[in-house]
Amino acid sequence: MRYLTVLLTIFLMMYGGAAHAENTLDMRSFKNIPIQHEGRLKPLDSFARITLKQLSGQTHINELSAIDWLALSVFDPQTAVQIPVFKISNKALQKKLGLPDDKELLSFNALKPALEQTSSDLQGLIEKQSSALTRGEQDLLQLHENAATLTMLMRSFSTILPLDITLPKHYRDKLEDELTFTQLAKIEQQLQQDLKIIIEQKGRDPASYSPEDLSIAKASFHIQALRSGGENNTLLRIIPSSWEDNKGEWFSPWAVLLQGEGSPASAFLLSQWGGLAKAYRSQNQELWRLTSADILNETSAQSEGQISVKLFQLERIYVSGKPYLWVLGLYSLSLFAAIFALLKPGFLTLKAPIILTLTGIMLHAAALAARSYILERAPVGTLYESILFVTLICAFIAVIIALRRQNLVPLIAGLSAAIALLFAAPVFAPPADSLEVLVAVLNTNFWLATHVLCITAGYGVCILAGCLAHGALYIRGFKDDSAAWLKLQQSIYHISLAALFLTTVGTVLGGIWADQSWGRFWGWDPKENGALLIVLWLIWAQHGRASAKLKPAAFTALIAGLNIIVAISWFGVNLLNVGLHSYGFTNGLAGSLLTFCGIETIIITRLYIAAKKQEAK
Amino acid sequence: MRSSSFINFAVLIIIGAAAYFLTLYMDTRKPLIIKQSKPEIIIQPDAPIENFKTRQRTPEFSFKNIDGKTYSSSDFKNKIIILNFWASWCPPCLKEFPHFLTAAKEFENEIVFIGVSSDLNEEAINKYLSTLGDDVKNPNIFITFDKDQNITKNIFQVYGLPETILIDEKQIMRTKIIGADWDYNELKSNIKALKRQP
Repeated sequence: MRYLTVLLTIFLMMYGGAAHAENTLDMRSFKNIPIQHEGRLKPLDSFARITLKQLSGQTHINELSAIDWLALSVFDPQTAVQIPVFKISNKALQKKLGLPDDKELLSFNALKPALEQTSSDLQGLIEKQSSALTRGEQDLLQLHENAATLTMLMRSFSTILPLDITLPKHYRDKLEDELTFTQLAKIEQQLQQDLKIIIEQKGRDPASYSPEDLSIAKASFHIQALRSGGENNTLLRIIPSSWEDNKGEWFSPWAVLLQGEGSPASAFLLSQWGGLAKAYRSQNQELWRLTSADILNETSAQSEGQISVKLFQLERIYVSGKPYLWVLGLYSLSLFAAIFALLKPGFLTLKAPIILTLTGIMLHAAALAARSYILERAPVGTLYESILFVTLICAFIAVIIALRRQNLVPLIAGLSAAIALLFAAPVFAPPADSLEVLVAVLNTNFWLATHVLCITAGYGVCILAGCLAHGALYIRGFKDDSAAWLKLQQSIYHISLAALFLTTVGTVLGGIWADQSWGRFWGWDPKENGALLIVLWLIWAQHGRASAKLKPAAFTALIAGLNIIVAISWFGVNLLNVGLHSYGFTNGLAGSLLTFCGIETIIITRLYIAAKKQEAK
Repeated sequence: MRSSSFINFAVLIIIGAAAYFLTLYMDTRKPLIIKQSKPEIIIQPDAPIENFKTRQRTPEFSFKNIDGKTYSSSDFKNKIIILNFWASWCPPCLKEFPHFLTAAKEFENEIVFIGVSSDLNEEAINKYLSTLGDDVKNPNIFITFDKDQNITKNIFQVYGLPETILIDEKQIMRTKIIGADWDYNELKSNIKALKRQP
């Protein structure tokens, strides 16, 4: 037990220092301000992380956290353009654009000449079919898209940020000291009329204008430029609609002004944002702290129950806590402890790896529950999520069997599978935000949740059975430990029965869901065929075993082969990009899947031959 | 036994270190800097949510009518208010304006029309109103010149013309009509719907 304490101490030490410097401004309220983004409401902190990751591949830029970077970008665009934030992984493109290749990230200013140079090619690229685009063209488009995102962010508050213009005194008397778009808009008609008179009297050549005329022309130009720049700026949706027609929809500051969404409520909220911008620009800590808390409360009140700050805080903990990294660490420690206990039985008992695994399982389950709570749906809607769920099932069933049988081999098998899959999970996670809103058909009803939970639980149990079968064949073939072999045979038999039950029920439930969603029970869709294949494979193995047509080694080899069948059904279908289930299409997976299947076939064949030789004796 | 314990302990340390470097490798975060402690701030999580009707209560505003008299929005309690933002230089505003006058006449005892003008001066307003004849002289029609844009931009955040807000008898802003792309029947049904409001 004392070793368990040591293990946990080491584990906690790993994360002790992983905190980050914060800006001098208190970002706690600011982080929680809600924003509507990619179809759901989320805290500003999540939005900042997603956006920064999209641009730079990171969630920090040196000492700037994502939220610090967001505040800088929206409130101080002049400085933001100097912050290196754009990542260009494509070296050939970097060279073609004449960009420095010794820097990992480039600022907007550094990138600007290259963007201008390639802007004429953009229309042609947009019109091209995405499949016809070369890698370089895709990356160039992405670069322009990222630059547009940052531009939109930096212009989000150009409605309320101070403008660097001076006006003749008779205009200034009508306005507040600090000139902003919202101030200028009040005298827009007057400016236009005065400019018209100037042009009529002095022509269009500014050289003939007096300084006063020039300031009028400049202000008039500014207001038009700001308006046209704001027209499509819908990124920062931080203001809930006040009008019942658009209830549930949120608007950016520019959309509020230009799309007629304004109301006394939005005017008040935007004036608060104006105060926050002032606090940021003057670095007034107290004003910032109070105003950001006021905005949070006001937005929360205006959203009328659409948001919960507690939920947002949970999301922030979930995203910044990286729970699956901790889970991976705990499972890894547990696996090493289990192997160690197996090799040195007197040194570490069964307890240490079991307790470590249970701790990991609790954290894993809590993370999935948090995810489910945040997204308000079962956490198995995407390929990435199914991996998270399957690994939990693997670890959970493994620890139960290990406890019941007082045997570490099932635990080692289950943990190995869980670790391998968790390690690969980031490959399947969406580039920026893994808290995705599902495509409509997947975000439907009770049958989806039960069907997918059941079938993915089935995958988990299948994988556990497959991994355990590998261990059993190895023990039979190379260790010749008959007692352990017999024990494992029993375990594999029971686990594979559970796998058969779950996959069969899951497949039938899937049919019911398909009937409700798509109007037919069965359509020979690749995913449906894959699920059926697993069921048939298990039935084949069970029948062979029950009728004694398959000897124990052959039965075990078939169960080991379940890993291949599950991989094809689980991941392979997504490669085909056909059928109604191919929403999770992933590029570049075919090679890895083929390699896995090939290596698995070789390993299982080798283990089976060795086990069969022992069986023949 | 002691040396065996030492070896085992060393193995555990190596395992821990391996896991640590593994997680560091997977972690894209850059600097490890000590977090400064901050004073606790008062956030009101899940602040009390006000009723939509309360939120949309029309803020009180006063205005000077074109005849020189000053009114307050609260003077029109128990009346449906059509609050129209317009200007004589805005062609769509002029297209819809007569419909409001017709509505003011048809529902004379139930509605009040307040036209908030963003014109440059009162002369422009009067010039346009003079083209409308007696229709504009109904006692439930009020026209104001929003010289400093306080009502239009500061209070109601109207940045595009025309916009019209329909306010019910309890002074709750119910509907906003953006632009002039509607016909008189739509306005009538909107007014009737407001009359039915509980």
